[in-house]
Amino acid sequence: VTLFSADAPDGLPDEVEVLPMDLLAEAGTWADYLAACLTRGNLADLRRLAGLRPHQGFLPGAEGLILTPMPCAGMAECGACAVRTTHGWKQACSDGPVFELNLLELE
Amino acid sequence: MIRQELVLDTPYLNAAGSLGFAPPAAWALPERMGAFVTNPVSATRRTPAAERTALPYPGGVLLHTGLPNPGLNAVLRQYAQRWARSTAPVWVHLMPQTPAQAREMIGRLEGTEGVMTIELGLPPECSAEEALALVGAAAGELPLTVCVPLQRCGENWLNELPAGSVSAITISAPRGSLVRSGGQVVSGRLLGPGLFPLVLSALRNLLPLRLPVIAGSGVYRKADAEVLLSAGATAVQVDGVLWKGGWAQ
Repeated sequence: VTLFSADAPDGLPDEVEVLPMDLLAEAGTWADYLAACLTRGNLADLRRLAGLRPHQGFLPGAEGLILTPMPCAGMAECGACAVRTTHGWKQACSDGPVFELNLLELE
Repeated sequence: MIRQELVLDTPYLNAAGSLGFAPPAAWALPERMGAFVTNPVSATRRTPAAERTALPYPGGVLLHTGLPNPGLNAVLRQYAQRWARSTAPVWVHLMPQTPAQAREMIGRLEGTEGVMTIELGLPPECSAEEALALVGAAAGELPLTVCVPLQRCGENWLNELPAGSVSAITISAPRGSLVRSGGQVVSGRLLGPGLFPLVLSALRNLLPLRLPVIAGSGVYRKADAEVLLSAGATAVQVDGVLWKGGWAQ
């Protein structure tokens, strides 16, 4: 397991390797799976860091945890956490918050 | 025209936008729900705002969502049966952009089972003339309550509301602006207990209009709701407190 991060959290087990974000592009050559933590606005940054060409997708099955406010906690369909996907608008609170990265649309 | 009486089981309601489009099986308050108010419904589909967000601040939270909804036709297809089965009276919150839209939307709802009241939301920056035209067009067979954002409750055009066709005024969430990280200014609805003193003041200013007033926004404590009811509010509407599990202490 490799964590790409600018800051290594305390208490990680020895089995977790920590690498800087600018090495993420290389992960495409050896990783079986990618899990990312991102806001709706920085999908483009993630694509750039992953070294993707304009129409190239992430690894099949790659997933992203969307960091977004969820003020109504799914009670009101308030729309604050709405996520734009290739299948239309989804709510992070009720449909996510984890989405397939290849289904997310750039904002 | 004779003013239609509001249908309320108790004086405790949710505010539009706080519980979705269909009545919940249960809600967070111990009091019985007096009526269920739907999320705002537009004539046609609205997508979420590009810069949608929720920004907390010491007095509460600013919500900028674009009021997404599938439009009246889709809402009726999806929720009308649940409104018909609702044990609480259903109030449909409409946000038409023109008088013609208001007439058409209300015409569709007048024959919809379970719908007991129309709550009219006004476009945020509409003029007094536009507001009065929308209210005039919205008058029909169903009781009509006009949502007036807290910061507009002192405007003179409220004196011209046709008392015969408006059943009540609802004090609704005010709009405000905050700066998000990155420096961008975001405007939206304000929710939070910090609004309560302003709501009480607005209620007192509205009572001379001799229209029932539903005091919404800023109601987070049972004691505050009781103060508003004692001060003359016909009912109170709660919003964010429903997302926090019930009355604040």
